[in-house]
Amino acid sequence: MSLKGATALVRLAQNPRCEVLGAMVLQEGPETRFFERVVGTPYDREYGERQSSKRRGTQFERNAYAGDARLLREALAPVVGLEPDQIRVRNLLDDYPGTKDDARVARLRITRGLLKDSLAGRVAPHLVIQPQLLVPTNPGPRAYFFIAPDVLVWSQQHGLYVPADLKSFVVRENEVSRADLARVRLQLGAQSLALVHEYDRLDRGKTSVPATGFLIFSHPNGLRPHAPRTEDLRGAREAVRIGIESFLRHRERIDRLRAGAEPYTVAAELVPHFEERCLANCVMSAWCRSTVAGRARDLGDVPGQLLGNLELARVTGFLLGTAEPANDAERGIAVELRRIAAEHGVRVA
Amino acid sequence: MKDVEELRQQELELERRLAEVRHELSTRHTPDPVKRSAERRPLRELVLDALNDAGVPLNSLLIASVFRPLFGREVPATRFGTLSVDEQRSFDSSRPRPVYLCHCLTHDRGQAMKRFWARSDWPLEDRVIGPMSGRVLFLRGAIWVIRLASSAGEGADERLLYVAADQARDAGCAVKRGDFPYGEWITHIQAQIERYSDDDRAVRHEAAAELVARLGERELLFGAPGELTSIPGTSTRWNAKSS
Repeated sequence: MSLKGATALVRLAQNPRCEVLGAMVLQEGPETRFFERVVGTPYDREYGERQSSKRRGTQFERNAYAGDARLLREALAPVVGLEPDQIRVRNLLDDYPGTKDDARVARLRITRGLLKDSLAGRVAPHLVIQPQLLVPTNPGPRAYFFIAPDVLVWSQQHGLYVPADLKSFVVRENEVSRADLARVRLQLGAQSLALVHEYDRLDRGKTSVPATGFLIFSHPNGLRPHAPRTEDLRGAREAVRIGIESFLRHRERIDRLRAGAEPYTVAAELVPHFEERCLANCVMSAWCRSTVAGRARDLGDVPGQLLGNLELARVTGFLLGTAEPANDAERGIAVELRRIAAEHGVRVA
Repeated sequence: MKDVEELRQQELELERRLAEVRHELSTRHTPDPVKRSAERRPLRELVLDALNDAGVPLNSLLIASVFRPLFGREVPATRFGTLSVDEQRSFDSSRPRPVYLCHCLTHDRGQAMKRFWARSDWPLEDRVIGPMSGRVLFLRGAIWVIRLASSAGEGADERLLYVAADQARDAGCAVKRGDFPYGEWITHIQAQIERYSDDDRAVRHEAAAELVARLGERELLFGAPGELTSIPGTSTRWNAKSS
């Protein structure tokens, strides 16, 4: 799996300071290939989405879209403000099926036509299934990100389309774990930002796209859609915007360094930003972690924030009295460490 | 502990039973004559016949799911893409065919809806997709499949019954495991179609008249070309390797 589309934007939003991630986004081909070329050995750990999750997601979408999206119409009727029978649906996979770029471009063209129709007050569908949007990052390599929400839904409240995403996670009472929710909000944030761009190119900023979207989870039994959850996307949209800005900075630096060569060739010269969550979602995590080995950040995000980039041997030295703090910040750390040690009955020098 | 002779007898008995099971399996796997002849016929002919039988444009996903039990034939999604290209090539060649497989057209722009297949000998208004036509076509396709299942009779591939039940469920009919009330399903679906059909027909007729005036013969079969879409970064400075 290569880092493309909304996945890339979500990862950049989660860790905007990582230049290695920027290089991975620039590099053609799958992430594992990037790892192999940088590290020189094959990537032999678990990677990617589980097959069972993929199957569940596919089945959930199939159920939701079947019968001219009958279940989706029922779920989203309150948002559209019409009876399910009155809701107009257009599934762009019927217009132009496929996952290759030519199909994406064709669906982008159709989506733009539908947005234009709706702004002009012409008859337009209330639900657009599998639309295609685009976030431009030109000029430069990787000049755009294709963003494909599951659905654009006409919101009666806003008089505009807003994105909705179907998630087949097992949830109870429509509640989802905090980590999962943060990630899917970022996805929705990327979709909302792409929608802002598309409306903007049609009417030059006259339309204010609300920072809102819908998450539609599946019921635990039967893969039917739950009632849609309205999500406030102000934070997520801003995080994605910051991620894109960081990517533009990383791209500029990488382009300077590589001088026409492929991005992976300059990985060793880039500044990684290792975080705990990298272990769960980045193939380069072990490589980046090795750059903070023996330092506070190796212990996790909180020690990293508290102790900065201090070497662990030096921290131990403060405690044992074998190292002298060099400044006020280090003196504060030393005092606090000794206080904690005393509180817990740890014998130090 | 059993003696050797007893074990040998058991072994012989099991081998005999295995031979019987294998024989039974091989007889059950022999395709029926309809399936055998369908396997030899080109996909285009089978699709043309299916459309003729249904009398309504069909979605390629539905066609594939019906051909599996009906003809014992797997049709991958990409095969329909090839079929479309072949049909257009054939239209462009110097040897015209009496009928072509073609796509439905959107009511406003006349562009192809590639998953909806129709026959070129149908009136244009029957091949136009209005804002509500997707639902009408789904419902009419569902009725076609339910009728196929109901007329299949004893010995039919039971997967056809399940495809029919899936269609009924997707149309909002009550579906119970092992129960196939075809008549009730059709009545329920017909009632839904009636809700939309008048308005839908009016839109399609009006759109067809406009499209005929605007599009050429080829475009009326395979769709009008789309507008050019601007994609950033198409400069030749950035090639695939460097990006």
